[in-house]
Amino acid sequence: MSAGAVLVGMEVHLQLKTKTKCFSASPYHYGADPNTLTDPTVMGLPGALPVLNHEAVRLAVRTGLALGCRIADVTKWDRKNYFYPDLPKGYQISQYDQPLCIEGAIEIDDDEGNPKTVRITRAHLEEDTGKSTHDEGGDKSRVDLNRAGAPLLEIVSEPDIASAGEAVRYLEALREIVAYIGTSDGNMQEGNLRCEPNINLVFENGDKTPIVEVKNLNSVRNVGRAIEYEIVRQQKAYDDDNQTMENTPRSTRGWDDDREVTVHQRYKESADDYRYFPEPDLPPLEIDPAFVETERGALPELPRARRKRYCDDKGLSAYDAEVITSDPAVSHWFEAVLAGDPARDAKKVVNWMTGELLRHLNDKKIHLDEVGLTPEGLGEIVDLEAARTINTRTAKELFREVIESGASPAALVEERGLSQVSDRGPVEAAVKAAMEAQAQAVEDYRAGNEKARGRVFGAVMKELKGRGDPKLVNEVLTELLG
Amino acid sequence: MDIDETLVRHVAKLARLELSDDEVTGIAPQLAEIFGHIDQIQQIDVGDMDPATQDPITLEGLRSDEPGETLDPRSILRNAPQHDGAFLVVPRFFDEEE
Repeated sequence: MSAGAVLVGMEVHLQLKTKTKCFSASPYHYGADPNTLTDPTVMGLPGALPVLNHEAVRLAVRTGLALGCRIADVTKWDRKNYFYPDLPKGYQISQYDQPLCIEGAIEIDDDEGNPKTVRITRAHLEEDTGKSTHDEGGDKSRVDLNRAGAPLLEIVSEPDIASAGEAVRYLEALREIVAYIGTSDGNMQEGNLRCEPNINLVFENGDKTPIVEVKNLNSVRNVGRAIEYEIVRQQKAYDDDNQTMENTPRSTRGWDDDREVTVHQRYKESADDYRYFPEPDLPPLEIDPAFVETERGALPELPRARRKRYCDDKGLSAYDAEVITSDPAVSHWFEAVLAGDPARDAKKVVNWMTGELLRHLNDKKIHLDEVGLTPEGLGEIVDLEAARTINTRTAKELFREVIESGASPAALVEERGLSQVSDRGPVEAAVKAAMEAQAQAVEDYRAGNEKARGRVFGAVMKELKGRGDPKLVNEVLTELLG
Repeated sequence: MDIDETLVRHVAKLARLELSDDEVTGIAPQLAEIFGHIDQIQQIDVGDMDPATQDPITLEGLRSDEPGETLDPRSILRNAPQHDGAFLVVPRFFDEEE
């Protein structure tokens, strides 16, 4: 039988980085003691009413705009009714037919490395549920309601994703975008980014396998593994049992991390019956187009556009552009170095940052904002070296000194006379002195031992206290050694 | 709206209500009567008025993101039939039951 084409649509729940919950002033942050972050609204106590958080709307709009969505003029809230121990009210406030953000897209690379657009159907704002843990083999579940009511943006894609690799890159791209715009931590381990892929196969004769939604995925890598597993499982179910959408209902399966398989949880006989109805406790929200334009104007350059600009305009390799943009803090620092003088050699700056700077951060286990060196400081070092005022060795020494102190490299060069010796007179004198001191090496070299030249070169640099202009030193050496 | 026993059982299941056969038989006509009244109200001509329940508010009407008071966790635990340390305890359930 032929192999089916893969269709994956992604549902992502993104927790927005607000200080308080979506519909009440209870604070929320990850890692607090259980059941310490609630209030009467979260608990659904009688008489408590929801009041929408402005910042949750702003972060949702900012995220929607970064995903290329249109923002609704008027958006409204609906009750999604279901009984669950981690949902104290008996319903979740969500958005059914008038979502906040409509029709966007995320650009990814397909498996061949070509650009591809994954369409986003909608993104709507809703409240999170509490968190429950289940006894292994026991008959109890424990509930912590801290997370209940935290703002979530649910981002739903079209089934445009055609492989496990594309799904992984979709999630990485989304995570990178929200890191750049600062609307969510996007951390799957801490549960502030959760995703549920919907997977099925379509065959040339028009047959389709039943759609499977996979839950319990706690890392991007597992999303990829679960999709790969489902592709094989669904192909086999089609080949062996002719399982299709016509004869088998949609189902939900859970990812079993230990066995690396998906496990059947339940069939969805019909559309989930949540009895949605308009939330009577919250009026619809009118969104001023001026607010949307202000938010659009406040968006930073997004990572994919930035990488393209670095490759097209700054002459960076795709690899360097990727490395320097993968962390927003590093990327902004790099931008600041270039901003000091747009003519600075971007490749040189990348080399300093990915080499000396990141190595220093790793060694000391510190963050970029904890080093003394400023983007201006690194810019000065790059400029001094480019102008051949200092040689590479001095540049590295300077770097190691100012990385901690934050002193101005240009001022240090001035103060200590670290400028490179590039006048012919002193270089010639040093070469002559070195040839005398290393008479044996000179003799060896002239007898045909190429390596002996290095010993003479080293002696010249020593004479010049390491500050000789290597190019000039070589020139003079060649002349005098013959 | 037709209120029959199948619908009553379905809604009872969604609402996690346990109804006996007698109760289902008894409730169906009662609900049918209530919905009959609503049908009657719906026949009133309200002109071209929107079915929307409320006028929209603007962004200025929203709450600023300032943390307020939280409930004492002990008061939450007191309200619960069972707890274990700081956690509420309920009969074990799966992420997606049934």
